[in-house]
Formats: sequence, structure tokens, C-alpha cells
Amino acid sequence: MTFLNPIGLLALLSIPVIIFFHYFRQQRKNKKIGGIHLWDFARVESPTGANYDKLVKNLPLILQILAAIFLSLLLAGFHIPLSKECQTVTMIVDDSVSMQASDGNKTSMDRLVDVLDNKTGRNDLLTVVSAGTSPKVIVGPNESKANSLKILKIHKPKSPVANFSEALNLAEKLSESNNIYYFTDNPDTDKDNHSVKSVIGVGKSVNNISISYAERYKNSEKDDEIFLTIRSYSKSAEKAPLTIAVGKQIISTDNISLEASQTLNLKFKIPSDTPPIDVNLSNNDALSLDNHIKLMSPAMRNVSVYIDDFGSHSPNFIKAVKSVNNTSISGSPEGAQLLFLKSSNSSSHPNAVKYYFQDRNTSSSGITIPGNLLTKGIDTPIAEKVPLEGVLWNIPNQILDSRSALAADLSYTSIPLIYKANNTRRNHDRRVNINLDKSNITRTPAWPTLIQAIIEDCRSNLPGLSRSNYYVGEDIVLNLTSQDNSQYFLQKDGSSQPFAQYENTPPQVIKNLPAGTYDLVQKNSKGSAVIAAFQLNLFSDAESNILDAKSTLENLIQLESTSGNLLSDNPWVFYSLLLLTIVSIMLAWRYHDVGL
Amino acid sequence: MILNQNQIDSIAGKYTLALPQIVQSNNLGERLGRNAGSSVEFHDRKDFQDGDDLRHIDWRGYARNDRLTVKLYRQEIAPKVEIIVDGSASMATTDEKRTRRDEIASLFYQFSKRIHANTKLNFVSDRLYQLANPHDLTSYDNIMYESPIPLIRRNSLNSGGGIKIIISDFLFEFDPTEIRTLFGAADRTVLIQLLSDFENDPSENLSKNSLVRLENSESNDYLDVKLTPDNVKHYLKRLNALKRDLNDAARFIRGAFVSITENETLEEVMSKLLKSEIVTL
Repeated sequence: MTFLNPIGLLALLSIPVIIFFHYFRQQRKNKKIGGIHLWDFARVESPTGANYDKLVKNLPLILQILAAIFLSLLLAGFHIPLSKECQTVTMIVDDSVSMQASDGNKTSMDRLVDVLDNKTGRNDLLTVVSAGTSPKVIVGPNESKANSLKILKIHKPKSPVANFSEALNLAEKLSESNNIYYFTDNPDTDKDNHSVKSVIGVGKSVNNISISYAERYKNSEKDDEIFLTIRSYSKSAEKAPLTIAVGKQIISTDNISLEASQTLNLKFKIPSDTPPIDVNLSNNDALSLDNHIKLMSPAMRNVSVYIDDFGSHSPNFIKAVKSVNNTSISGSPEGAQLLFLKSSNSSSHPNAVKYYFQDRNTSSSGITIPGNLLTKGIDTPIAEKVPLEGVLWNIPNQILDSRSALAADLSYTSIPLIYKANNTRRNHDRRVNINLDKSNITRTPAWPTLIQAIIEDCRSNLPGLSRSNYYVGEDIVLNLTSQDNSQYFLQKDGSSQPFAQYENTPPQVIKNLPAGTYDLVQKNSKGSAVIAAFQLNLFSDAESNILDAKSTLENLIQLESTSGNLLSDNPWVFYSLLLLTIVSIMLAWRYHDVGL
Repeated sequence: MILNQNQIDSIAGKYTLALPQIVQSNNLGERLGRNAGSSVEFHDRKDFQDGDDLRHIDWRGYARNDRLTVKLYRQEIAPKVEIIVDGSASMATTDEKRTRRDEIASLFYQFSKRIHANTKLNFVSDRLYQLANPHDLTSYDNIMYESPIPLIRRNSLNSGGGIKIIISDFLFEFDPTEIRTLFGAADRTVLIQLLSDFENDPSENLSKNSLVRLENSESNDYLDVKLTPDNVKHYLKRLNALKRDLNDAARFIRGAFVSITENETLEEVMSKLLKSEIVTL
């Protein structure tokens, strides 16, 4: 028996008002007359007696008070709930995209809903925490089974990752028993701990093909270049029709064939003025989300590179730089963002990033910092992916004989490949600890990779975007400078309603955006302009690979957690109160003048 | 309410109580009647018939023309007016009704006195009170009793001739034809029915369909009634039947009936009395 609404209690205040008006209402008129016998025909038949007379006199008051009480109870949400035995079940649901993978009949999410439908009692109460990028309570706490199933049936997991540990923290706070079920399509035993009662696999190993990478680069003034990487996560050879369309107009179709677990790279050019293009893999595979991407006109930053005269090494520099998209070679250091220089003597061009190809033997200001990193004092591990195997390296004479040249993988344990000058005036200066004349690096595959890494590192520190197509969940680095009296709106999927809004300071990094197309719009007194446009439409290999998904639903017994009683609404109380209220109001109205 | 004695005196001066056409009894009096009587004023002669008073035989005329005639003298009436005021509680259901009762009694007392009638003012309450002055009416309480008729009979107020003026509401339970026998011996019976406004027309004071408890002024009985238009109509039908019966009974015994209400002006009352030939100008 509960009161849910204080309005009902306020309504009770009407009772003293009713009593007040009852006793101050116009009383029954008494008339003293002669010849009462002339009226005997009009006698209102009623049982006589003082008690009855009192009852009749107070009947309107009784009926009005009853009506007020019933109405108050109705407004207060008074109910006597029905009590039923139930279980309270708390669970975590893998909210990653792979939960949407379908075997052609059901998705992992559908199988989860089936499990809940079959393995929980009718009166059970469910609490569901989604394990996505950030945990979220998507059902409950303690929601009825019917409502829970209704919510879960329409829920679409969209997160790029399943952050289980944070979801567990939240679920533990909501669970009364710490017996928590974890539903995922890719169960592994490391999720077992004292809180998790059971990790339940609802996945199914199915073939999938995905567009794992796509980008549209500006190749020249006239052309854009499209890069596509299509991967097969299948146990057998697959064919997939690839369609490229501009709006509704299909401009290219191809039926590509992929061997099991094959990766296919495609590259083609399109005119620069081509509007955003849609790329679709229209095969009927497990996950449709990773079959479609949209490639907008490239909006990433161009890097202008100045190359010093490195003599016989210059062609290697030029060739390596030209192989990097959105990069141009500048004839002079003026206006270039990246300078490849022979000597560190010059201190001009303070805003450009300068790389000095000069080993420490000939450097007067270089600092040797022992360590095992290829880069020192530089946040971005530029050389991390540079394959240095087979590269001949000059060894500083402090450690080894300077005339010796060993493989770099032996030497970089003590000497960094690139390090930053310890001088605030030369904050942008980096030293590449290579004596080009003594190393074969310019003739190895490591060379274009290193140059590309340097250029992309430079590009990432320039304001704006470094790419236009990102992986879902990936951080979007913008590096925009602050402008007063400007507002920044992030608009999603062409909606005019802001998805996010920033005052004065534009975001340096935007995190945890869901999949979609975004425009970052700057609004100030001069008007509004799109300063960045990007998409999150790529999914990681872990999400696209459904081959590892599996089910552990066999022999799954009833889901149990905490026993208790379910208190549910009792509609009979509500309807009875409603009926009593209506009847008492009607009677109070009908007999308002009785006893006057 | 205080009697407006000046107004009563003024009105009483303008009107005269109408005397009966036929006098059945008590033909002695100071006033000359329209018929032959026993006054000293010669009126006419007629042939002697058996039974004529031998003392009135005109012996001189017999000597002159040998014809036995009887002298007739102008009838001399000594009017006897008996005012009977109903002192039951129903006559004081409202202050206005009681005041009007006293005014009417006072008015008729004045009329009576003006014609030098032998006037008696009887207040019929728990017993009969003979009042010397209408102002004394205010000194007597109205007493609950069902009907003044038994007391009228017991005190022989109905017997004998003269003018009987009965001021009552006549709302007690009785047979109006009883009036015929009760006051049949009177030379003239004037029935003045005095009603309160509510008694005269209940629909005027109360809103329609309202419930009202009617308390019997003569007892502790009450009656809960609903003043629907139908009920009011039915009541008025019964009241009008009573008035008609009273009027018929009064006319049957050469009398007159008039019904007045508590809030009518004295001018309106007098207009009704004039119209009913109870008074003359």
C-alpha cells in the first residue's frame, strides 16, 4: 500500500473545505404554517427516527467526503500491489558491433533475447548493463521481463569495443548479489571472476567480409585517389559485388573474389570534383555495418616539404616524399611545414619542423640519451613501425668503434634514431642520428616508411584533420587554435541540430563518437563555416572477424540471481477507485440537497 | 408589529359596516331597520290578521271606517356585532399575520362601534376571552389548539342573531359546510380568512424544488415536502376549494367571505371588503 504522489495528500485538504461549506450551507427551510393537512399529499416518504434524520441530514457531507477521499487516493496513485515470487537478474551485455552479426537467421543479440525469454521466470526483474565504450544501464534497474525484452529486441550494439571491466564496476553497484551474467558473442575465460556468475556465449562463427580501410586522398588538383582495403574473414573463398555510387547513380561495379582470410587492396582515381561516393559490398555476410562506407572530398591537411641538397641522396628523399599523399615538395624553406636539412646551423624558419640528418659524431649540440626507444623527446613514436632489419648503422665511438656498421636493431638499444634538441629555441628541431654516407637506409624499404612516418607526424600536429575516414571509437585529433567569440558545433549525419557544442575553445581531440558523418562548424560574427568534415565508418578487425564467435548456450539452466518478491501494479485497485470516485461524485451531486 | 391606530381610525371613518337585509331576531334597537318593527315611528298599516299584536290595532281607524287594521311601526334594529378572533397558534405563524389579525379585529370593532352596535370582541384561545378593547389582543398569546369551533359552540358564540364576524385562517381540519349550521341563526356572518403569504402562495417565497419542512403551528407535527411546481399547484387547488366552500357556506347563510393575506395593504383589504359588501361607503 503506497502513496506515490503528494498531490493526493494535498487533495485531502479539500475535506475540511467540504465540512466548512456543509455546516455553513443553507440549512433546510422550516416553515410554520396552519393547515398542514392541505399538504399531506406531498409528504416525502421517509422512515422516521432521529438517527435516520441525522443520517439523511449528513448524507451529502458523507458522500462529498467519500468522493474527496476516493479522488485523493486516485490522484495519489494509491495501490495495493500484487506480490509475486521472482528472481532479480543482473547481466552485462557485450555492446560491440559484432553482436549484430547474423547467421542469416538470428543475430547474437536475438539469441540473447531468446535466452532471457526462455531462461528467466515470468515475474523476474532484469537489470542490463551494456559493455560498450562506456558502460550504460540499458534496462532497469529491476525492469519487468516483458519490458526488458521489448527494450533489448530493438537495441542495436554499436560500440567499437566492449569495455567489460567498466561495465562490471557498474553492474556490481546495481546487483544485490554480485552474481552477474555476462553475455557476449566471443566468450573467453578471463571474464570469470568472483562477481561474474557465468560468461554466456551467444555468438556463432560465421563468414564475414569487411571494408577494413578506406580513404580518399587529394592526388593532384584534378584527381582524388581512393584507397580501399577489403578483408575476408571467411573459412572459404568468397565473392562479393562491390558497388561505387555517387548518390543514387552507380559509377562502378565489380564482383571481387577473395580467398579465405585474404586482404585485397584497391586503388583508383576519381575526379576531384566528385561528390561524396558510397562504397558498398553487397554480399550477404554476417555483418552489414562494415560493408558500407562513404568517402567525402578530402579535407585533410597538406604538408609542404623542403629538401636540402643531400647530393646523391636527394633523389631518394624526393621519391620517398612524393609517395606520400597530400604532400608537396617546396623549392624553398619559406612556407614549408617540414624541412629536411643537412646542418643544424640555421635557426631560421622557427615554425617549421626541421629534421637534421646528421649523426652525433659530427654534431656539436646533439645530446645522446641512453634508452631503448628509437625516438627520444618526441611524443609520436615515429620510428615505431619502421622496419630497420638490414639497415646498416653507424655506431658512435663511445660505445663501439665508429667504423663499424651493424644492423640497426642491435644499435638502437642505446642510441636513439631520432631525438629532439634540448633547446626551447629549437623546439621543433629533431635530429636523425644517421650518417647517410655510412648507412644504406635510403636504399632499404625502411626509408619511405620513415619519411612517411615523419611527414604524417608533422601532419598530425598541423591544425585540422589528418584523415577523413576514421575507425569507430578512434580519437579525432583536430589541433585547432582557440578563437574568441566563436562557437563550434558538431553536426552528425547532416542534421542541423548540434550533436555537441563547444564555446570559444575548439576541441583538440574528440573522443567516443558513434559511427556517422560529422561536420565541425565554426560560427562567429563573420558567419559560419565547416572547418572539419569526417566520418567514423570503419570497424576494427576484432569486430569484423566473426569467425571466433561461439555459443555456450547448450545445457544452460535457468538464470538465477537474487530471490525476492515482485510487486506489480494492481489494476483492480485503480479501476475500483475510479469507479468509487465516479459513483460517489454522482451520488454527492444527486443528493447534494438532501436534508436541507 | 405595532398597530397603526390612526390609519385604522381613518379607514373606519370612511366605511360603514353593512347591515343584514333580513333580521331574524333581536329586532329591538336604536337603529331603524328597513322593515316594519316595533319602534315608535309610524311606518304603515295593514289589515288585521290572526296573530297580530292586539296592542297595535288601530282602534281609531276601525271607528272611522269599520275596518280592523293594524298600525305598523318602523322596525328599530339594535345591531349586535360579535367579533370572534381565532386565537390559535396558526394565526401567529408570522408576526405580520398576527398584526394583520389584530388590525382586522380592531377595524371591525371600530365599524361596529360607529353604528352603535352592541359589540363583543371574543378571543378564542385556550378558552374564551371577552375583550373590552382590541388593543388587549396583543396581551394574549396564541395557543396551540386544533380548531376554535368547539370553543365557539361551548360558549354559544354561534347562537342568537346579530352580525357574526369570524376572523380566522380556517386552516384547521373541519367541514366548511359546518359553518351553515354553526352560524345559521346569525343575521349575517362575515368570514374573514387571514393567510400568511406562504399559506396563500408557497411558490412565491421559495425556490422551486427546494425541500421544506412544514411545521404544524398547532402541534409538534411536521411534514417534509418538496416544493415542486406540481405540488404547489395541487396545494393551491385544495386551498381554493376551501375558499370556495367557505364562500358558499357564508352565502348560504346570507353572509360574506373574504380572504386576505398578511402583507396586503389595508386599502387592498378594504377594497376586498367593499367588493364583498361587508362594508359600504
